[in-house]
Amino acid sequence: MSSGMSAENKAKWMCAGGCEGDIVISTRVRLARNLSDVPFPGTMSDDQAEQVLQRVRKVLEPGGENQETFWRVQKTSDLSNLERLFLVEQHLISPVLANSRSAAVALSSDASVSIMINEEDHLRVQAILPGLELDKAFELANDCDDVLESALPVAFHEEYGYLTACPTNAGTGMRASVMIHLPALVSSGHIGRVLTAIGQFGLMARGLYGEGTQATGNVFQISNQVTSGLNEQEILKNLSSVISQIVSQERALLRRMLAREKTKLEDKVYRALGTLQNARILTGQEAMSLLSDLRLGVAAGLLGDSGSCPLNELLVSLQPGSLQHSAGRPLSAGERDIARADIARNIVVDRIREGDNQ
Amino acid sequence: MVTCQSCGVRPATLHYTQVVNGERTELHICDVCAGERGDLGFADFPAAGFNIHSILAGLMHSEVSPTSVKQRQEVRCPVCGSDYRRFAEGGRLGCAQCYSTFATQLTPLLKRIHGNCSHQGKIPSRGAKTILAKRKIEELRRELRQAVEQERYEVAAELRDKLRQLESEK
Repeated sequence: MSSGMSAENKAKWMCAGGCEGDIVISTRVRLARNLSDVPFPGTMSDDQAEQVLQRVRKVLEPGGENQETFWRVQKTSDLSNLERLFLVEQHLISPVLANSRSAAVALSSDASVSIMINEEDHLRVQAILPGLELDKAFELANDCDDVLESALPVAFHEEYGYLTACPTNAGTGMRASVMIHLPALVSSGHIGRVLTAIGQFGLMARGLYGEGTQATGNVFQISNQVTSGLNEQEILKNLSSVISQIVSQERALLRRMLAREKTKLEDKVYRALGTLQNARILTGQEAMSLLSDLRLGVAAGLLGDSGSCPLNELLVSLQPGSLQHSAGRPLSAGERDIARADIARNIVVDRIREGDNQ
Repeated sequence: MVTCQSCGVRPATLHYTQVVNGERTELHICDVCAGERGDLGFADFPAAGFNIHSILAGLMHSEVSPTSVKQRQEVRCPVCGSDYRRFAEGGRLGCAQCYSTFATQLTPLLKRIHGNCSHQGKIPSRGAKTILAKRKIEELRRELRQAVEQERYEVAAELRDKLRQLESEK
């Protein structure tokens, strides 16, 4: 490990809790910005990329424009494969940034805000918080944007707004997304209707990333598709009201499940808990499926509240990059499955007690 | 156990499923092949390969008639040197100036993506004063037109004075 930065900076959203934290995993608000006097990353030279990085560094370093937050700036080329993978799994950087040599990432001290430098756009400021916290996440990202644009010339057009490499981001440059777990809507078959409806509100839905995605069919990322023609508050309000609707539908279905087939639901949840507490080998897919059942148990009120349950932490800790990062070395698939079971056991046995609130 | 779709020998350890408009694509590969496929194994996954840019590129082509495509391809951005072809194929603009260089194609495109491409949101603090003043002037002009149409001449006179003042400050 070259620096161990990522180990110290566990992403803020991995903490438990947040509004509607049993159903809403996390909220992310991202602002895309470019400098007006340098071509976009896709066309700029390596020298220009380095200049962009130096200029941003200067703004963020102590004594610069920014006084309040301590930023840790790292070039992706200075990070090991494992560190980069771990940052991707924490959603602090994108896979595109991880694979780019002229890119860098700046992380705030509590890793609630990350600034991707020289990704598709020169600057992508993103704030991620646990639970449903659209306004707070926007405020964090926006404050950071204020600091940057007070010192750097930002590409802006009176009519089009903030200019981005891809016109789908132009205008506000804002993408707000909510990661949400919807097992009841999926198992009842209502999810298709919900996802279709989402499109009519200028929103879109996607699945989760990477390993075990098949088993995490219950996790969806819902975000705004339209970034122009509305202001930031209108976009956030639109997203937030749709998410609230979805959450209340999910809760209604959960109540129905509890009323009609409580034993079946309990069986599913406690089997998942039992396996996570006792398994010695866990594949990524199995783990994600068990975590989904565990979260279902929390949402149904069977396993204490979301504030006490390390669901988000588990979601990241059982991913391949995180496992290898904890081990401090690359692991084969077989070794990872054993390490995954060990970590799941430690976290689950330590922190979740069966029937806490019964 | 599923075998790797790339080598067909080792068991697959990375599973990727993508559902787009109800259509399911699956990719199952092993560690070794994932490693060969790129740094993190992300690079060649459908998610990375599938991108909004290819869809955009299709939209961009449909914006212009066949005869005008050729003419417009010859226009180059004076700042980054990108031409229309590069932008239509990749779906990405080369620099901030491209928005002005290719404004004729971009305006209808932005309208199709966003429904309305007139920016209503945040304004950078540096240019805020002049842009806000312009927005205010436009708003007053609209109100003035309305007042005249509704024959509310007293209100119109007030609006006219305000407008004059703002315009003189510019």
